[in-house]
Amino acid sequence: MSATTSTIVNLPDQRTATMPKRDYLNNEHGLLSWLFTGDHKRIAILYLISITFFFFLGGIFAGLIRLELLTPQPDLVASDTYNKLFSLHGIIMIFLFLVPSVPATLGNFLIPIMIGAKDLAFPKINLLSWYLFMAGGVLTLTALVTGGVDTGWTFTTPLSTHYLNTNVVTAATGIFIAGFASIFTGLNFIVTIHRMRAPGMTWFRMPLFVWANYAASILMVLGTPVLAISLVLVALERTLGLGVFDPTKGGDPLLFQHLFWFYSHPAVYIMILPGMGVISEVISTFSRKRIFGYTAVAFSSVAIALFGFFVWEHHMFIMGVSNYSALVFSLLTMLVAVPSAIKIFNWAFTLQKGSITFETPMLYAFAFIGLFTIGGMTGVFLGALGMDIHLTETYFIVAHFHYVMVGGMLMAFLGGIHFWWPKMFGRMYPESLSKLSAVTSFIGFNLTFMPQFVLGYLGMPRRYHAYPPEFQVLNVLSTAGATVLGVGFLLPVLYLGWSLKYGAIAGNNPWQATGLEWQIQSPPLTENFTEIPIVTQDAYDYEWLANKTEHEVTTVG
Amino acid sequence: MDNALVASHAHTHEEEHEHVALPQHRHHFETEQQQREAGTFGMWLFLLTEIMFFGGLFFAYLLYRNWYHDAFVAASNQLSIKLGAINTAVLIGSGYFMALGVWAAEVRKKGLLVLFLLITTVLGFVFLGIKYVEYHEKWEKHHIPGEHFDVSEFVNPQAYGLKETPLAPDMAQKTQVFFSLYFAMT
Amino acid sequence: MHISPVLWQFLVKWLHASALFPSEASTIAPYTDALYFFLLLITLIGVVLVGALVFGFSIRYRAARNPVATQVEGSTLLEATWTIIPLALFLVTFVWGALLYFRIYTPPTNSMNIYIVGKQWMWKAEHPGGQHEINALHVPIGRPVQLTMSSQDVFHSFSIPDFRVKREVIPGRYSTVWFEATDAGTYHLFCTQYCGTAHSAMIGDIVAMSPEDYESWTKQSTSGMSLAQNGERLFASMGCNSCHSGNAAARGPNLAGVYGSKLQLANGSQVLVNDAYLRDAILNPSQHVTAGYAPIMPTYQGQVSEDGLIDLVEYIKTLDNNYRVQQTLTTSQSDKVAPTTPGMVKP
Repeated sequence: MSATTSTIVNLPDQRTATMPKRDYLNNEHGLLSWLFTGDHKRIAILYLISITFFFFLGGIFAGLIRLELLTPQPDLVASDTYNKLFSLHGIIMIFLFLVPSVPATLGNFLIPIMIGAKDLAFPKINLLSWYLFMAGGVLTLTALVTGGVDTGWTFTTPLSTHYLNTNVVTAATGIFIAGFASIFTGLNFIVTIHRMRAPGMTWFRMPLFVWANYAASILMVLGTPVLAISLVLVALERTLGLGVFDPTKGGDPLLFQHLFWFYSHPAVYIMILPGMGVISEVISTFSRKRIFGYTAVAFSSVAIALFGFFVWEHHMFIMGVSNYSALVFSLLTMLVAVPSAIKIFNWAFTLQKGSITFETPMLYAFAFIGLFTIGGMTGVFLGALGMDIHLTETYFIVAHFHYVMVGGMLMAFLGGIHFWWPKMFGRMYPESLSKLSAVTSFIGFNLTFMPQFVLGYLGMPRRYHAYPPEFQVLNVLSTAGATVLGVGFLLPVLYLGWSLKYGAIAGNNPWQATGLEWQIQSPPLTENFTEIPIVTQDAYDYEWLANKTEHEVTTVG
Repeated sequence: MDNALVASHAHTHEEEHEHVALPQHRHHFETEQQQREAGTFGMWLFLLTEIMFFGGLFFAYLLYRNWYHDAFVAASNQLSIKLGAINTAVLIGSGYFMALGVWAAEVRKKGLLVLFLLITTVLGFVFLGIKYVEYHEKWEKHHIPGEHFDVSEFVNPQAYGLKETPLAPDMAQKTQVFFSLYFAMT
Repeated sequence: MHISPVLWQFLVKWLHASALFPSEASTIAPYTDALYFFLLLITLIGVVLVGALVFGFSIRYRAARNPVATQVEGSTLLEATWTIIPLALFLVTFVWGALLYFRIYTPPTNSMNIYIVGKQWMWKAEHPGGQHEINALHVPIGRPVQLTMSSQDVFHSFSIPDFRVKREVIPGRYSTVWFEATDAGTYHLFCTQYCGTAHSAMIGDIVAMSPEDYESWTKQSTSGMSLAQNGERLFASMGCNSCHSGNAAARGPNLAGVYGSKLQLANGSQVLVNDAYLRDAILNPSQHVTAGYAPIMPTYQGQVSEDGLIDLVEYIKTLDNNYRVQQTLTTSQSDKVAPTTPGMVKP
């Protein structure tokens, strides 16, 4: 690499390079070898395929919603159909895509390798978790094809328990089961990170990706059971007529919301924290620099996880909760915003004095920082009590969580996929095409969701099938943006699929990154390491890497 | 008290048992000690998730008991302490024998293992039997929440030969919340 | 608001004219908007700052210009800076937001009361004078209006964007919200909580009128019976007066003047009698037994509709002396409408 090039991509000579003779992909053959695998990398691939499917399914629903909202009249679909569309969009995207996205694919693939272990602590539970996820997914699909479900993803009682006659129980069971998949993944990560670190891999030598997933795992393990029990109670109320949330029997419907948001607010952090982990890895690699304030970033993940449990009531400020509890929860909401701000500034300052190059993952990381800043700041709007009264339940909140979830999490997921793709499959994708898709998604995203902030302040309520005509211009803009966004999301599927067979051979460490995963062959062996490494360096130690490359002859194959 | 907790007990024990019982440790663990520690740690963590799972119910119980104190007192007097106590003992017993089963597997005593597993299963059925008796009584008294729920026993206990203080009808209605939670929890 | 009113007016009018901003039609709206613009400002500063850092560093330290990175551990001073400054800004936001929240959810004592019942998928408004409206609400400008709201079925949410107010309408309890309209006109009313099939059709018009127009509207659209009069009939027909007769030996407590008073309950607690208390006491009497009385009142859960409850509550509110109760007794026997104050909208 010469000093003046604007890329750090370092591929082996393509004329002589070959793929490794033996790796986790070709170790065993046949469908059964995949379905009964205990290998964390293969399970990650299984997850990747399944969540991609669910992502596009949810995406189709999103497309139909935007198409309906092109005109103020309810003309494309009937009201009930529209309600099913947004309910299934929410349920599929949240429970079947966002929650498992980074942890179950990238986390599953990378955490053992990053800490120098041969596998997760419980490979069979890991596989079980995928089967549970699929069972949950299939049940949700069953609910979909047998007539859909129209509760919204929030399952608000008593609407969900007494007033709708769609497949609420089927969908709730699906989410319940998928929830256990998430519990098992979290459990596996925590045990693995506690007990399976390689010699010398101390807590503060772990990559920040591991820290972020650790924090998310705590949330998964402690939060998901509460969601599970609230859904069980909803199902029991529907089927057996129990009255825990039924106001006519003396139950309190607000209790459901308390229980539901006790999970579903931390769930937001389950979704975003692993994404933040990806960003830390990418920013460091492409600026060739240690993450600025490593410990601050690591602890801010844990702080988000802890505070995240005590802010749920900010979803209920207008629901007649006690004014004083609203005060407490608003204050805590303000506090949880601080660690996110800390992270943003630490990433920005990592760039300072770096040697920055702009490969695709880096573009996604920049998109993440920009969009997440907007998403986070608009969260402060909603956390401010008086402001929340006007903004909640409008398109403002829709735009806010899409900025965090799509702008933040999905960008991070795509960045991570582009970053570790050469490691997962040993081949590179076409760089210019991938940069194009990153830019397209960024533009399309802003065009889709920026108008929704304005719509929200104008007062357009969420989940509206028809709306007053004066909101049309902004809605048309949003739909146009969604089209661009759709293209931005479809492109990667095409060229990543192409690259599996025709991409350039990547070699062990195309980005010249420092993580342990980059020091082994791509794709890795089934047992990851032939010999468990002894770790002597901190994370992101580029001098160590330079030293190592100098003294070692790297061989491929 | 609750089947699910037992089921999870058994489940985690099985996981651990499956790891430990193998002649040699699993390939991805460096040492057998690491494997054992990971197993134990994982099991405790899973129990923690169970606490959160039932924590939601306990929280609901606490809240409603505070609101509808009289109804909860009267309704909880309907439960048989004797049967409940026996069932608790049965549950702890089955858990104990399952743990013994794990130990038997560790020291590779196959006969003992089978015996312990059998005892666990039998105790499981005993539990279900007692539960049937309890539920049957609730059914006959119309104490199962839903359309057939009947509060007359709480409004007018004397007619049923009970010494309870009668509840006002609106408070008696709240016993339905109690039984809802009771059935959800057990 | 710390910016000049002229500038403020200009900004708001301009934004509203370009359909980017809702009109400010209540006394609360400018307060909400002030916080909104403050938050927009700090968001803008934050985004520009982060953008400047990212782009600035990207240009200054791109690999072509700075081939070798300088490793930096971090800086406690900088960490403290970007912990404390955002924290301070967020705390200001918190205090500001909390003040606004209390302003929006604390009705002035002189506000007029209108009842709202939400049901799938319509809004019913009931004025004390007996005017009923569906999916519409007529209010006078320049006068605080309090809404006492309840739902017959699922959660709904009563939202008037141009007034910047919104409150959840909850089954089984009263919730309240208030506003004071400033400009005459017709404004959107939305249900913002997803409530089933026709959620997006659960909309209506808020018609803010000058006090004179409002006066004539109330006269035209009265149904002839005020809520209190309806309540009085209900009170008699359900036999409430057999216990709440106002006599010293009556089995139920005297209801005259009870509204607004502090009541000592049998369980030792003291409560302020308001709309919500009266409603609860009718539905769950045994939890609201007045000290000195036996818990013998049956529950009326499932026997009185939300509308009926409103009538009863409104009737009890108007009972200011025992003579009125005695009159009710006579009415129930003679089946004639008791003489009451004319069906005026009560202040």
